[in-house]
Amino acid sequence: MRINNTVLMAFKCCAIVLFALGMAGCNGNETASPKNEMPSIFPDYIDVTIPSNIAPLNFKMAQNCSSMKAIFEGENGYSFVVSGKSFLKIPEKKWTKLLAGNTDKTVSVTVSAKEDGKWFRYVPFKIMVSQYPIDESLVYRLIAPGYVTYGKMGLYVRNLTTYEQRPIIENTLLDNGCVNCHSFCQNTDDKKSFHIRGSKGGTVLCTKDKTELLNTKTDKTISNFVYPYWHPSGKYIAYSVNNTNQIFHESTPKLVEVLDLSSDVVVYDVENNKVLLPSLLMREESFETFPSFSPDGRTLYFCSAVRKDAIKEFKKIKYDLCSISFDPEKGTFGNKVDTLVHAADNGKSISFPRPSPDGRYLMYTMLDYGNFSIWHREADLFLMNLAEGTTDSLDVVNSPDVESYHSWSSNGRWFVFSSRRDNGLYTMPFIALFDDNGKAYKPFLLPQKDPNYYESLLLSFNVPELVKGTVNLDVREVEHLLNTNSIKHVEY
Amino acid sequence: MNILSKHREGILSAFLGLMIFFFFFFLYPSHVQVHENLQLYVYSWSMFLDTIAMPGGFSNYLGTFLVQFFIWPGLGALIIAMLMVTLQQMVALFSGLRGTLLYPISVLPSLLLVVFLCNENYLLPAVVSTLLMTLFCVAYISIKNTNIRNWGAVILLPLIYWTIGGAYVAFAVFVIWHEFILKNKKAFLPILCMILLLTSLPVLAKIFIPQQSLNDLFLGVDFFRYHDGSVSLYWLPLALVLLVSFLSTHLPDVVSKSKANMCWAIQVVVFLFLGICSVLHFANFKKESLMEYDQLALKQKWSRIVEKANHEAPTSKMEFAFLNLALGKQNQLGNKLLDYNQVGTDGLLPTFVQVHNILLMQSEIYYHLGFVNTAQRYAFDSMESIPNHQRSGRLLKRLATTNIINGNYKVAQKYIDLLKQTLFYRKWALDAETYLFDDDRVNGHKEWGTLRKFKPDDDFIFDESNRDKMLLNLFQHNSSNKLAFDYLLTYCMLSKNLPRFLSAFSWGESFYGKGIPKNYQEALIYAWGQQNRSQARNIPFPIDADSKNRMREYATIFSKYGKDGAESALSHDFSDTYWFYLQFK
Repeated sequence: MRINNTVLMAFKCCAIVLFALGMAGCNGNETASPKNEMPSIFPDYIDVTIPSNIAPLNFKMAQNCSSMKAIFEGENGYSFVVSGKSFLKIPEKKWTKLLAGNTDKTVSVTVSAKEDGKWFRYVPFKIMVSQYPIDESLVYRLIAPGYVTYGKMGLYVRNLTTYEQRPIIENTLLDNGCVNCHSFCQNTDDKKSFHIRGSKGGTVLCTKDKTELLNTKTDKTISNFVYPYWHPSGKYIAYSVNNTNQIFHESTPKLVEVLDLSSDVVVYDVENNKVLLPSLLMREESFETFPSFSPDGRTLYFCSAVRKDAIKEFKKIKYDLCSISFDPEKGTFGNKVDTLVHAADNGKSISFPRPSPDGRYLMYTMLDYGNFSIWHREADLFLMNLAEGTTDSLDVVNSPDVESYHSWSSNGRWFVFSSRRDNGLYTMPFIALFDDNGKAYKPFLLPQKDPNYYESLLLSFNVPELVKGTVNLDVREVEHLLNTNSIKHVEY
Repeated sequence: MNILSKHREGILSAFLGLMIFFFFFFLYPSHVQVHENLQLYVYSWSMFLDTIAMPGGFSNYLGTFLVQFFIWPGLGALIIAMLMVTLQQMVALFSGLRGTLLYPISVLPSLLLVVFLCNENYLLPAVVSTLLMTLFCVAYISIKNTNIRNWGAVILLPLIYWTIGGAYVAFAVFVIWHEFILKNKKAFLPILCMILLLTSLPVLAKIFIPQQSLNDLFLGVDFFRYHDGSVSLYWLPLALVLLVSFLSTHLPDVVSKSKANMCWAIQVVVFLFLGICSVLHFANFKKESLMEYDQLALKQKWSRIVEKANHEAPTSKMEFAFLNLALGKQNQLGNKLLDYNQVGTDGLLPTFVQVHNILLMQSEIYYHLGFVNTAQRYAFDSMESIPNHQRSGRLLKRLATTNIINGNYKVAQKYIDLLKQTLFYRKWALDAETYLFDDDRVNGHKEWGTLRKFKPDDDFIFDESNRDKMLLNLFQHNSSNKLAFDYLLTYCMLSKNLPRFLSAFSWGESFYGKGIPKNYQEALIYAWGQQNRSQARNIPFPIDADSKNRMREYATIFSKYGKDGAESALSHDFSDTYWFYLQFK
């Protein structure tokens, strides 16, 4: 035991000497001058809170530097040094060990950079490691943030514990059609759906037993199914049906408005292949959209606006946050609509209501008008405490640019959201911790193996959804359904 | 004559190359440039790896690499000519045509590919793939050891498939047939393996690349810009290569040596005639003309556009749109608008068409007018709708520019970073980069600063059904935007909305002083007369005597013949007047 302690002490001494070398000099004989400021890094990982199972947060200096180096030092003791030229590539094993040993603790990161031939050492910053893991998969669509047309696109799944990204389905397989609105029941891969638009099209519905292709247009509904949300039981999916149009601004900063000329909310009974048509959600005098079920499955949230001429009065169309009760056993709806947030009265509009998995909170996007928040720079995330009826403006999460689509992790401790804060056009996914007390923390950008990835990417991350475990789709089966036109018509 | 006979094969190849170069450089240069406009070649490992990750990827990569030089049509024409001559040489070599009377048939695959290249959507990777297939055939027959040759082909077939895509089938057919001719019994087993591989390679590829259809994996090569392009366009040249090889074996030299020259001459004349007739038949010179307008507008060669229109009148709406833009840029819209047989408002501001190459052209017009957001939208949609999912250097440059004008520097930086990795856009990108995040420099830029000033502060929505209203909004934001004002007046004239023309004219009258352009004067006389019949002589605009006299002459003839008979009587002397346009167009 005594020998072991001696060896341990010797290792510790070596480690301290190495750190000192790393802190003081970066090439052995070069001395780093201290700078009394935090480093400016991309992505901004300074003082963020991360799940213990996230892939390494590789980063680079925001300004030019010829070399850089960082010491990662866990509060519980494990440390290592990483160096690089244009960015820091953190070894995955060391990173995993660091996070595993520092759960619920902090990691200190001391960055040194060689700028104009001289080394500078910045003030260390912290990364907090949460005790809560995040779901393994993040599913999103990658698509150019275009106007009317689109090129290559697809649904992709990213393993959050590594950097692996796999296509789930790409439109190269679909005669260049559009694929959109992916949705998962209770953050699991067991039940999922997405739409394929184009000459070969339909809604793909996957359950454990089978994969089906649905034609969702009926005589009683104004369009095919659009924005989905699964009932927690997996027996229903709430959809909006929308007659959508686009108009284009001639002055900046706004470029595009996506608006509904009409819209309703319906519920699809998966087991009986039947569309439920709630009259209160299909009113002529109003627009209803973006449905979502409460975790107990007994309330359906949605957004509703007074119907107006969508083209001429698009700035006057403002959506309130509403709800209606739902009986999943009978498939019936309550006889009154409750308005939870009178956004229109305050000159605002709401989209994407998403209840937390414990049912205590409801996160939504608020913008000046309309519902297609991705083209609204003023769009921000808000949080409603459903028990108290209070609202939090989530200042720590929002930015001066767009915050739009968001979804919760299965444990409710994390949420992912899309934001255009980096460049104003290309949407990126950010992840933030949400603690037991309903407090959100500074978000971090989805880490990539090479942080330059985002700068060279000409695609947006669209509709990020967290999913437990891996995500699989038998594309050959989907291809077969499309090629054989094996499409099932939904009934009402 | 002897020298001619001795070197006739070389002369034929040189003649083929010269003819092809001549055609693409002098008669079809804009088609060459369009290939470059609709792709982006960047010097990066990621592009290389992404491209070669697919069957046929090497042909696609090499094709894209070569097409980057098509930005200069001379170089593009030279590359096409060299590829075609090399193909002809390879066909002659592996078909054993050298020194035979049938040597001229080796030009047929090249001629067929030239005919296909007359369609701007037929892509160079198809040519590269065919050429590489012949190279593999030449390499194959050059191996004398039967076992090495046979088993080498089998082992390398997957690599060949990955290199040239579907053309691997043609290679395999050649190998099988070649061994059959040689009556090589040892080849039975390798050929059997080859047949098995032939059918299974795309299926195996599908396991690793499930996101591509089996058809796409089988063909691999990006041979046509549209996904639904007829596959025969890919297979026919390959089939012809094999056919030529087959004919070379089965059509022996039946002609006596004394008639050899005659036989040669007949073949050359027939193929020359066939080639010229086919090319002239399949070449679309109307499209070439429109593309030339587009290229001239891209380079802002406005006087060349007007010269071109004077030489041959434009026919399509898009050609008129370019001509009118050129007239506007030269301050001649009001004077010369009706010197041309105008086709209405769509020949001024064309309506949205969701086709990549039309959007690309329309973007030019909106850009110069000052509709920066619309130009950006059209450019973005154009790039996104390129059917084979390519990026475009030209369009990225436009997107970088519009984002600089709009002050969206971080987005512009993305495009500039990409263009910096190219050969021909790099210089521009490096210069453009110096403007990023520097509003003062952008404001001082001759073109970008002006367009930034023209951008409206007060928002309005793009409304294709009210294009005159949009032009008015644009002009009202910045009354120095004379082009927008000329377009507004011209739009009112072409849409025959004279009350609006009259009211609009007063807003920018000061542009012209006493020298109101001729066509505007004609519209003013008529519009004023319509609104103020009793005061027609007291028109408050400085109309010159010539216009007044012509109006009187026009009215006299019109009264004499009546509306039904006046058109022919007036067409000779008055077809360039607004009155004639108003009443007969």
